[in-house]
Amino acid sequence: MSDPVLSIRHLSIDYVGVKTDFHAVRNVSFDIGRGEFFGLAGESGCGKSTIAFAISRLHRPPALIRTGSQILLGGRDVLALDDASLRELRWREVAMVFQSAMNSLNPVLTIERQFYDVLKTHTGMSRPAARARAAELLALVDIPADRLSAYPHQLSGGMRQRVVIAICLALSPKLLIMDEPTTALDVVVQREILERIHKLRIELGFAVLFITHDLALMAQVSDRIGIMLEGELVEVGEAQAIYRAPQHDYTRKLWASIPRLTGERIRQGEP
Amino acid sequence: MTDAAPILALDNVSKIFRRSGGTVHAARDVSFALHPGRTLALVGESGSGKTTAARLIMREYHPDAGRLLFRGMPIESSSLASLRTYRSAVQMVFQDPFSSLNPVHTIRYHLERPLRLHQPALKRAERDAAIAEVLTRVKLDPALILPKYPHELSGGQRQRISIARALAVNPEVIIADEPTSMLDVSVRLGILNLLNDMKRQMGLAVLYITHDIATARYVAEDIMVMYAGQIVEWGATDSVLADPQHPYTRLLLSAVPDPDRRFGDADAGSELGQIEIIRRQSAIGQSEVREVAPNHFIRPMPA
Repeated sequence: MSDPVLSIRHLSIDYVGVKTDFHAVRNVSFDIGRGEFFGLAGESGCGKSTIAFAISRLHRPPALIRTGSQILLGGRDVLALDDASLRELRWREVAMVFQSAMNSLNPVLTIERQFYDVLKTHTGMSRPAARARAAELLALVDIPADRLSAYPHQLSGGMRQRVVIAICLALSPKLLIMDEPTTALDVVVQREILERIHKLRIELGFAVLFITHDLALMAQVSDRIGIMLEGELVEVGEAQAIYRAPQHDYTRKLWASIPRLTGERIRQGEP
Repeated sequence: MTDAAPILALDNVSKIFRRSGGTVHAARDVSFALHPGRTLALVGESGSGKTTAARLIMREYHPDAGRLLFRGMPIESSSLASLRTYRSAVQMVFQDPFSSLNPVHTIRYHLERPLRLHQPALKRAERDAAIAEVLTRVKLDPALILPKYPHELSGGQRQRISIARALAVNPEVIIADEPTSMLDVSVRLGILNLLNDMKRQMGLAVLYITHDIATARYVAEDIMVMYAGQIVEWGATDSVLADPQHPYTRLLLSAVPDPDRRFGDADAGSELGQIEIIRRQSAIGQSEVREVAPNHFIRPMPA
């Protein structure tokens, strides 16, 4: 892939313990191209969220990135950056929608104020300018500008999630990381949000790293998919290939464990 | 739904919550029946009233209108003794296996307690035998698991304990409220299979509450789709899923992740283009019921 937005090479991350280290991520390498929608799938504990946090250097001890690991974001070596450059990188190059993003808004601040926080810190934008920009961003996710004066608890879970996405897009990042962004939401709301992301990334050209355990959803929306098992990336391929012709045993098992709406009920018996 | 007498039924039950901003119809003329050896799925999004239905059955809420019938008798007029029977006959499995077990007690405690409460006559040895039997049923090793604390178990194991706890008192009805939504996909099926096995082996009547309509197909003979406190479509699972008639059911189905329908495909389903209209219209109370096929009903969405 020429000029990828994200390039991960030999990434190994351990959770350092008293007696033994837990190898959460083992020698993982993959690229995400410009504007690409890349899905990372696996069960809880497989290391997918650990990778997401490491990309913007949000990992905290006892997580330790082993030497020999490399994360290049827009050509810059993330693991070598000092604090000032890291602040530069976050939001501008990479923004992250967390797993419980609905609860990641500050409950005592209005929506407008939370946009202002990001815009002022990173661009020194004035309050009126930030308000105008925030209204613009909310329009991207179909929320009327009059909600700017609302507090998070006055919005539904799906709306809160869309606000978080709008804040993430505030500085036009090249990569949007979404860690299980819709797991707590209903299917219809989930569909609305992902449909919106799908359209925005085509319009605005950002790449997406989409992390979920819902393989069916991932195959619907991603360009390429990586499958993780116990810290290793066991299979990477085009979404349709992962769906129609999975190569790894584990990928096949994952598909077999999903109850389908049509056709075979899936095979009977234990997965 | 079948000719056999239902063990538990809601008969035109309504529940209204009054708040400062107005009233919420959490249940609007809800009627359904649970039969031995059958699973009825109750499908809907959060806030649709699914859990209110469960709470009405568990008698945490009392209906504002309508009746709860147990073996054909209204439960409201029951004596204290028959309420006790009801409580041991109807057991619940909760959504969150991480918070529904007490972290400071062992698994033994969790399984002993229902037996002490509902079958106080049991001797210690009999109780131990009952616990061992129920753990074996949910495919856990009693010797290994009994001394453990909840934090030492995986989510799937904890949910098996929740099921074992519900089964311990030989119930006739199981209310399972989203029993797999907090679990990984790879363990979900194990839990669903377990519910299927229990239903068949013990002749249980199961109410399976979920927002995941695809899993409903896997466990339930009959299905109800609920929206805004109202059951908008119901009937035989195969008929409802193969030929959904209510716009909300169709919307729900078209939103289910399906790798065969990529985002942006033209045939994504017209319902996805009118989400707001369907939500608004489906929320209006509708007393008319139409039979669209044998054992398949809808409350038509007002135009």
